[in-house]
This record gives sequence, structure tokens and C-alpha cells, in this order.
Amino acid sequence: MTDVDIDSTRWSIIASGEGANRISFLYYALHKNPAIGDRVLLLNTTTADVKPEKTFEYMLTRDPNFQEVFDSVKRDKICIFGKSPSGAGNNWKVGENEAREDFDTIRRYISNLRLSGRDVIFCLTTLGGGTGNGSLPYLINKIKSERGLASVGENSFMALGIIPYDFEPAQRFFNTVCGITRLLKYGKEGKQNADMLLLVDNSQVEKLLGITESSTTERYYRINEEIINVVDMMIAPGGKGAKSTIDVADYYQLPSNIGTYHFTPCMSVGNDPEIFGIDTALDTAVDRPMTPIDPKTATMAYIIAVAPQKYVDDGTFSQEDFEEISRKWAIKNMAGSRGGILRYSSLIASDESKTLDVMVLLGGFSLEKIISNSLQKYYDFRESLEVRSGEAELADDADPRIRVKINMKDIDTIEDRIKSYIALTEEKIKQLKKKEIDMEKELKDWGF
Amino acid sequence: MNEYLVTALAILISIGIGFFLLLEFGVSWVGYFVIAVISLSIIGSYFYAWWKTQSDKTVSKLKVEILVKMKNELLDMEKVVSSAENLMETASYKQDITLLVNNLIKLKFYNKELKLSPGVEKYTLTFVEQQGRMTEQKLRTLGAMAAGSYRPKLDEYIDSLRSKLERLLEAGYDIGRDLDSFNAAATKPSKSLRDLVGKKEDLDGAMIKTLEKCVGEATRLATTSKDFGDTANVEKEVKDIDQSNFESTVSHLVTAREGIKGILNDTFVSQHQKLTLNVKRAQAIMASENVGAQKRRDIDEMRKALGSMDDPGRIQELKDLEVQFKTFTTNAIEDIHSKIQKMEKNIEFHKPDERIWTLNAEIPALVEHVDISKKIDEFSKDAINALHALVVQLDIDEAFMKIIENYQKIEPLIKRKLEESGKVTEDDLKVKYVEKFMLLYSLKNPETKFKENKLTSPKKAKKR
Repeated sequence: MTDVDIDSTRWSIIASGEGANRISFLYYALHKNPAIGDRVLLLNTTTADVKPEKTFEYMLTRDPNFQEVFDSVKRDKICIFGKSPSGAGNNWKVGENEAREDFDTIRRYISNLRLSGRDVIFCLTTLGGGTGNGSLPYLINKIKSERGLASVGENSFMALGIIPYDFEPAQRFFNTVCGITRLLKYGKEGKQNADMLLLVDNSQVEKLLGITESSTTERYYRINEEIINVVDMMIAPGGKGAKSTIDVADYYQLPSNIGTYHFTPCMSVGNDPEIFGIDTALDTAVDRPMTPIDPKTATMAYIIAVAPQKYVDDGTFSQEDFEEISRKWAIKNMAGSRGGILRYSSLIASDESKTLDVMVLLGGFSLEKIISNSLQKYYDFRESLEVRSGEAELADDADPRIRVKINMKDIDTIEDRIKSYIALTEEKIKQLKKKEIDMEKELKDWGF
Repeated sequence: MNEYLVTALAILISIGIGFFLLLEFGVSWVGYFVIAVISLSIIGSYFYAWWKTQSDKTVSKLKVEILVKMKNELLDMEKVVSSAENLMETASYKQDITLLVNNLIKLKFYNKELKLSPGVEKYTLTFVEQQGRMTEQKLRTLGAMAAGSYRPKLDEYIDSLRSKLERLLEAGYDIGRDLDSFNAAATKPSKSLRDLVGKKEDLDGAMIKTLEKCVGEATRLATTSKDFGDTANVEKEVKDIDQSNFESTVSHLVTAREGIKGILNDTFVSQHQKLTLNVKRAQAIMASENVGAQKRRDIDEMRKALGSMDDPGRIQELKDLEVQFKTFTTNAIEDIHSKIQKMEKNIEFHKPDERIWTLNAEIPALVEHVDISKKIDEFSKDAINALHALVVQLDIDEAFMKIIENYQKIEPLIKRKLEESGKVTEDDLKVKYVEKFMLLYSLKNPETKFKENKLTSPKKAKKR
């Protein structure tokens, strides 16, 4: 964790759904970053999901001190919304409806976060489920547009969506495609929703971390720790050890202007600074994207390195070298022959860190691999729906009381929106891969 | 006066009461009243006489106290002024004190032996008090004037003592701290003549102690130097020291020290050079990060101490440093050897190829050879050899462990680069021990070749 100035940007975490609740609780119990402090809100549709014996059981038995932390979180940081008797039943539409109908309850808890100025709201959800995946896109859109809760147009909303394991059933991938789309675009006009969407794939992270534990909870725990590292690394370039600052606006403004604002973190942490050069750490990071992507299609990159203070002081690592290494790396590894459209590099010297940690946030990459992993299951589920009068009824097998109707036109709209987003992304990649301009001709056109 | 007034008033009241009784009750009542008045008068007189005696005694006691205090102050001032006479002319101050004493004798406060005189009884307490205050005031003025004259003389005296101490320090005597303490005492603020005289006494005491220390040092050095030359002259100088005379003592000590330097110089220079050379070698070997910060600090301090030691008179300290060097080196050898032995158990588990990790088989014999009881030349030769072999091995072991710990992260990079271009060179991989990583990769992947710092794969490179 890096030191943060008192005046630096304040971050808050809003985590909706069981999986995201686990990540936030782990952050709150172990990793508190001064930029976030205790501005954490856990949302869920059922008390069962946030009962320690269920969601946090593993963490509470792992460390006895967690019980005390849980008691404090339970008091004012867990918001149970909606009237559903047993959650959203993995149905995103239920999650969305519950959030809409019980927004007043959620509003009270969000007020406790005291959002102000240019605060960043980091929104977490798993994409396979119903509660978080359903409610969070709605909430981002609602908070952004509603006066009184946030500074309209000034707060930034970063969303992190976790793609389910490859082996999970079709419904989860139907939810995933809908979730990604709704986080990217929402509302009647399909405007940009989250300012930046980070994607993390459970199966990919598990493979990268070499997790072999058979216990699901232990596997989640390790993945969640890695996600928390991502949050810390994103905050670091706004902290006091940063040799070059990356403002929050730098993270989202240009990607939003370009129209492609999906990213994935590539992490390489715990490198021995005696062994690793920063270029090798960078290579290692990009070999480890947290979703399956082809880095050669990435059009944007935020490259963040946290190094022990002494190695920065003795000149082993410097911002100037880091910039040059990043430039060369981008030319060689990113889309096009000039290293993508956008690149920021920030080296952070930390008194607390003993290792060289590098994170590359690659953005604007082709979503082909992610979508192709989900598409078959998406269609499997969609085609299994019984459509009557243009509507399909979704019910939870485990609890028949949970049922909701989805208008198939809405699903078509979601498909259209993701397709148009993909088309724009591919177009940007293609543009970069085009041959270089005829300089002689262009200069002539410019009057030289 | 009050007693008479009260008595007259009492008689008048008694007569008045007598008349009243005579007129109202008759003569017999007057008779009883007269008897009662006479009885009360007798008892009252008795108590009054007793009370009056007690009161007079208190006044006399107070007078005595004032006179004793005055006498003590006079004697004390006389003594302080006398103590100052070795630095300044005190006759006029003594004369003023005598005048004050004579005046008090003339007033019959004291006799000629300055004992209390019965003549003081005739003075009231107030008069005695006035005289006491006047005397005290005059003594204070006299003291201030005397201190004003004494201060510049004392400053000169302190400067002369300081310069003597500096001469001794320059000659090589180990009195740096003594000089610091002397300077601290000399700058202590002193206002009164008594304080100034006290300061001189303290500084004289400190000077005597320092000279005694130097005499001890000179005697010890003269004894030590006997093995290296004729010390008769030095011994004579030490013998001739008369510590009551600071100037001559300092001169003798300086001459003795010069003599010692002459005798010890060659030996000191030679031993100093040898030890410096050995410490430098050990320091260079121990520059490796793996040796540990504390050991590096220790050897650095030893080198620093040696560097500041340039006086042959400090030959004993040089010898002590030699012993310290031997002990330190022996301990460092034991520590590093034990660390290496522990690491080797761990390394053997990985069954490393000899191109990645080798063990210097001579180490146990080299360590065994180091014997602290040997003379410094022989000891240093063995110790430096052992230390060098150990530190080289330690660096090899630490490097191997780092390679093993980090290989998991480097392996996919090498694999990817091989897939991309069919070869990996040092420039492709910015890591420490790059050759060893490539070699390890080639050992784990027999289809690849590692030759002339280049790793190649026979498989055709994939296009990314």
C-alpha cells in the first residue's frame, strides 16, 4: 500500500452481491488504503448472503480478528435492499428491479459515504450473479444522474466486473454478457454508464496465480487478494511517492472520448528488485492479463510500477527510464506500430514496499476472446427461454417465489449495444494497424 | 514609660474605688479592699519582674547572633581575599577589612582577639542591627571590587593552563576528553570572588589530575618502549617531574613523549601499515551485500579507527586493534561458514547442475587453517584466504537461491521469447544472472541449446 496525501482524491467502494461483498470485506479487514479509509458499502438483497456463517465464514475462521471487523462492518456498512425473500436468484433482472424499488434504502447508506468533490466510486460486482450484476449498472446510472447523492458530472465511477469460471452454467454467461453491456451502456438512450470498466476473469486469474487449492473459499480468497492489489495499484499514482502522477481524470477522460473504456489489469507483483529490471517486470505483467486478451490489440495502457524507496533513491529505477522502457514496450507489444493511442507511466517510490510491483492496465483491446468464451453459453440460455408475447419469464429453480419477466426487446437492445461497442473497438484497433500515412503527401496538404 | 503610666493609673483607680467604698459601705470595706489591693500588687510585681528578665535575655541573644554573623563574614572575606593573592595584589582589600574590624573593636562590639565584648550590652538591638547591615554592605562592595580585579587575571591563568594541556595533547597524550572537561569547567559562569576563587581551585585540581594521567601514560610508554630502544633519557625526564610546577611538568612530559616517539616510530609505522593493509583487504572482501550490514559497519569502523591513529605513542591501542581485527575476522569466518553450510543443505535439495552452482571444496580446510593464536601476518594471510573463498561461495549460493526463487516468473518469458524469435540473448531479458536463467531453462528443456550466451530453440518461431 502506498502513502496517500491528505489532499489526494478520495475513493469509495460500493460492492454489490455476495462475491463483491467478500472482496470488500477482505479489503476492509486487511488492506485499508488511506485513500479509501472506511468508505466502503456492501449491498445485498438478502441477509443470508451477508451472514458471517455463509459469506464470510472462511475469512472469519481464517483470522479470529476478522470477527471484530465484521461486527463493525455489520453496524453501518451493510445495506440489505429489496423485498425478495431469498435474494435475486442469479437473475439480474430481479437484482435491478429490487434496487429500483428500494432505492430509498440504498440512498441512505450511500449518503453515509459522504461523496463529494471529485471522489472516485469504485463499484465492484461479479458478472455471473443476479444481485450485483443487476443492481450495480442501475445504481451507477442513478447516482450519476441524481442530485444530492454525488457531485453530478464530477464524481467518477470505475466499475470492476468479475467474469465467472469457464465451467459455470449457461445462465451465468447470459448474465455476464448482459452485465458487461449494462456497465458499459445504460438507459433508454444507451449512454456511457461506468466511466471505466475493468474486467477480471476468475478462471484466468486462478490459472495465473497457479492456484491448486481444492477449497473454493481458499481459491476465492487468493483471487480476491489479487483484485485488492489492483485497487491499491490504481490509487498509487495519486499518492505522495509518485514520480509522475496519474490523475483520476487521466484514467477515464480520453478513453470515454474515444468511446472504448474497457480495461483489464495485468499484474506482476512480488518481483525481487535485485533480479528484475523494470522492462522484464513489465513483460511479466503483460504475460499475465486478468482476462483472456491479445495484448497486441490493446490501444491504451496505464503502466504503474511501485518500487522500494531505496532502489529509486539509488537510481536503479527512475521515472525517465521507466517512460522510455514503457515507450519501447508499447511500440513492440501494443496495437499498431506506434504503441497504441494512449499511454501513461508512473513510477511510485514506496517506503513500505520491498518488492517491485508492476501493473499494466490495458484498454481498448479486442473483446473477441472474452465474448467468444461466453457466446455459446449466452445463446444456449437465450434459446432456452420460453417467450410468450415477446416476454420471457425467469424463475429461480431453488426458490419458485423468485420470478420476473424480461422483455425480449430489452435483450435485443443489450445485444445491439454490445455489438456496436465491439464494432467501435475493432474499428479503433484497425485504424491503428493501418499503414503509416504518406508523410510527403500529407505535409504538402498542410502547406509545406 | 508605659509601666509607670499603668502603675499611676492603677493607683488612681484604687483610690477612687476606696473613696467609693468608704462613702457607700463604711471603713471596714475599705480595709478589706486595701488588703486585696496590696496582695494583688505584690503578685503583679513578681510576675512583671519575671517577664522583664525573659525579654531582656531575647534581646541579648539577638545581639549575639548579629555579632557572630558579622564576625564570620569578616573572617570569610579575609580568607577569600587571601586565597586570591596568588593572582592579584590584595593588600588594599585586606586593609579595608582591617579598618572595618578596628571600627567594631572601637565600638566595643569585640575585643582585640575578636571575641564578643560585654560592652555591647549598652547598645540597643536596633543600633547593633544597623552596624551589622552597614558592615555587610561594605563587605559586599569590597567583594565586588575584588572580583572585578581578579576576573581578568583568572582568565589569563586559565588560558595558560589550557595552552599547557594543548601542548600535551599535541605531544600525543590521550587527554582529548580531559581538555573538553577543562574547557567546560572554565566557561562555567562565576559572579562572586568566592566563585572565581573556587573555579581556579577546581581547574587546578583538574590540571593536577590530567598531569598525573600523563605521567602515568609516559611511565607506561617508557616501559613498553624498552623493547624497542634505549629509554634512559625518557625515564630521566619522567623522574625529574615535579608536579607542583605545572610549567616544568608539562615540559618534561612533552620531552619524554618526543623521546618515546623517536623510539617507537619505526615499529609503529610498520605495524600500522601491515594492519591497515589487512583491514583494507578484509573490507574489500566484505563489501558484498550478502555479508550483512553489521559486519560491514564493524570493519568500516575498524578502518576508520586505524586511519585516525598516527601517533607512535598509541602503539598499545594499535595492538588492541590488532586483537580486535583477529577476533572480528575469526567470528565473521565462523558466521559465514555456518550460513553457507545451512544454505547448502537447501541447495542440495535442488540437485543443481555444476554450471549453475559449484561448491568450493577447499573451504573447510581454509577455515580450519585460521588460528587466532598465530602472529598477525600469518593469521591475516590465512584469514583473508578463507574469508575470500567464503564470501565468493556465499555470493554464489545467494545467487543460486535467487535464481531458483525467481525462475518460475522468468521461465514463461523465456518460453515466449523463444516462441517469438527462436532465440533469447542477454539483451532480450533484463534480469540479473540472465545467463544462469537461460542455462537453467535449457537444462529443463533439453530440446533447447544454450551456447555462447545465447539460448536457441530448434522449433520454428511462432508468429504472434
